[in-house]
Amino acid sequence: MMTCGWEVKFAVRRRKRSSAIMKKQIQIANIVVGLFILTIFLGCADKPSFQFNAVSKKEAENGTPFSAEQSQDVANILTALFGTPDDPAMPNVNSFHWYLQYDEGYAEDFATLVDFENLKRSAGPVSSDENGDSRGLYREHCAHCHGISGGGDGPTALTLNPYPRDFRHGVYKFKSTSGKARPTDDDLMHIINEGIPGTSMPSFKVAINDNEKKALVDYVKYLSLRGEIERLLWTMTSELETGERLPLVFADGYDKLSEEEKDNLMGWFEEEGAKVESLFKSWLKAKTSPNVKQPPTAPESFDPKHPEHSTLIAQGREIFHGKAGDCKSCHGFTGYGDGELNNYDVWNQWAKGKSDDYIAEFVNDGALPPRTIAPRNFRNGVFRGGRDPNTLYRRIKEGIQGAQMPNAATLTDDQIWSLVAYVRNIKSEPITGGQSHLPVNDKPIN
Amino acid sequence: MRTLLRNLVCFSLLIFISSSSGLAQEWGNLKGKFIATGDAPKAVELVPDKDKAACELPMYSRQLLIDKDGGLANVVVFLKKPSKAVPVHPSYKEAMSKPVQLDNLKCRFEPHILIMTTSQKLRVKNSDAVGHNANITSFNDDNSHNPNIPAGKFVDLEMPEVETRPINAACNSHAWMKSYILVRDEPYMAVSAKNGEFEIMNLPAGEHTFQFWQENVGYVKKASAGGKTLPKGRRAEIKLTIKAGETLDLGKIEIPVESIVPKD
Repeated sequence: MMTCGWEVKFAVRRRKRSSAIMKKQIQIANIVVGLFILTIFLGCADKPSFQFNAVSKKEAENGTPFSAEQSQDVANILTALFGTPDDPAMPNVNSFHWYLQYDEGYAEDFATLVDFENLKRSAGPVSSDENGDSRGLYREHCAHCHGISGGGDGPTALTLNPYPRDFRHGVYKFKSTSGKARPTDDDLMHIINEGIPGTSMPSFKVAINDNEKKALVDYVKYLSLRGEIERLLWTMTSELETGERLPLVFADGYDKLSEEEKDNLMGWFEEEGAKVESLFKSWLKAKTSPNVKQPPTAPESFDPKHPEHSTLIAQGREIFHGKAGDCKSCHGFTGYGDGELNNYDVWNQWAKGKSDDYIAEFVNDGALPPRTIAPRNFRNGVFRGGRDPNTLYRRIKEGIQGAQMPNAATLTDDQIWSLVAYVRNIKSEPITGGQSHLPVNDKPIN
Repeated sequence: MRTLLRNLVCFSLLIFISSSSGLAQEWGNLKGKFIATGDAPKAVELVPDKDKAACELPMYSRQLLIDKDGGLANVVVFLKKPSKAVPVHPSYKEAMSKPVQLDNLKCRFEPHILIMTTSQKLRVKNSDAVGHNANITSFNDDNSHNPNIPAGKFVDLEMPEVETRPINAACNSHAWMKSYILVRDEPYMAVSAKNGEFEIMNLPAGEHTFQFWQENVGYVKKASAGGKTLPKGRRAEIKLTIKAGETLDLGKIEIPVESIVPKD
């Protein structure tokens, strides 16, 4: 129902691409288009809505489904805070003052987190304005993979491996900030510009202009924040006593309450309020004072022309396979990325240790079939966050958030640089260690 | 003269107040024993998919440990996160300045549940011959770490933020390895032992709000002592009065097994 507008567009696209041989498909597409147009006229909502996070809702339900009212309350609160896909809003932090103990100027800071005009431009249906500027950017470029709610669950998601990023965790892998810190605008911009090699995320470097990219960066942050708050709301709903409802004044109306009601409400937010506050602050910090550490200068032998370069690679090899780094534990003895295949990343964590029946119920409710982790296969020589030395240094030094790659807490700078040199070189390292084929293999096949 | 008198009165009052507040801080203890009621389910065996030589086999899940008398281990008892600082008894001072250790031993985290204060460093050690890591996930960015710890090495981590409830630590290369960490400003917390017993020493006398936490359910809502349900409300709060110089013994605290069985 909610995606009517868009499925029409898809059918039309498919039609455009069809060749003469596919006349039958065109006919079917025509019928599909006709049917959809018909349903629109017959009253199908033509405005898409945000979808619930099926996984976090079901996890919070823990076997006892929430009532229709309880779910509706979550939807209403989210709409009050973040608007709709056609009419976005950012939470008015002034209405949170009763539990966010923010400092002077916080509201002004928060207003700088995203540019509201950028949100308006990214949201809504695909169109262009009187200046010829494209609008509805997210639906034009992103939603088919990342989904209308940023859940990484758009119509094409199921066919992709890896799945598109689910923004609703606020977790990003390829970034310049330390540890769990959120990505900077530049980090997100880098992904939009360069794409993610080895995945279905393309480069938008020339496809869209800089203002459009900036608008999308802000929209991704908006979807992240919205998704993170939604997850909190489901947890809150799970803690309700029988017959109790979430306080709808979450978004607004606090000042109108009696003192007793205010006290009662504070009780609600003693934990979640602190979490909302830390969410806001984390995103703000990445915008205003990100914790970005520049990698130290690489040793001279990092230069492939340097006579000691092969020694550096050999050092890296020892760390990779030895106890100091133990990279092989996940990336495998040959670097094929097949050392640890039974674990789950942050986005698939809900499936860890669960039975097939349990997982099937989640998938039935809209979750993508879970996948176990795939530690990077170095034999392809493709690095998702980019292969430049500084980027790889950061991946090893800081680990990869969400992906289960730990940070090299005990390695020295030089040891890390040797690992960078080694992992860049694995693709050209013979698996047999330079040994030629064994006599048993000396006959051609056939 | 009048001013002098007033000053004198003020001065003596001040002395009285300061000395009385100095003396006023008195302490008491809290103890109890968790008993799981009902039939204990069979322990779940954990089958490692690698590094078997480093593990002590067979290995069983610790998410529900009940001894033969029903004693329930690994229930965390703590003061509900206080809104202002709670006085700390001097006997805690020394321990609170030393690192607290989370070991990787025989492919398990030791201890399974660790309690620590923000003043302590978290020493993540690896006593095994294989590599481990400790992926600590918190809402607080500053408490989230995922250090790789090579065999025989250790890493000291800062845990500067207070957590409302225990947070998770997992090893990513050994999927069965899991533990929990509770970080607080004050040291008033305990983890029930194998026989279900716990004790918190030297709490400031007065009324406090406590919470019980168990990894399969979070806040324990179904817990009763002497036929009376202890936790109240959404956050399962337990109001208790600690009397100076006395130990408040909650006796047997019964938790129905079915309320804490993990869902799978």
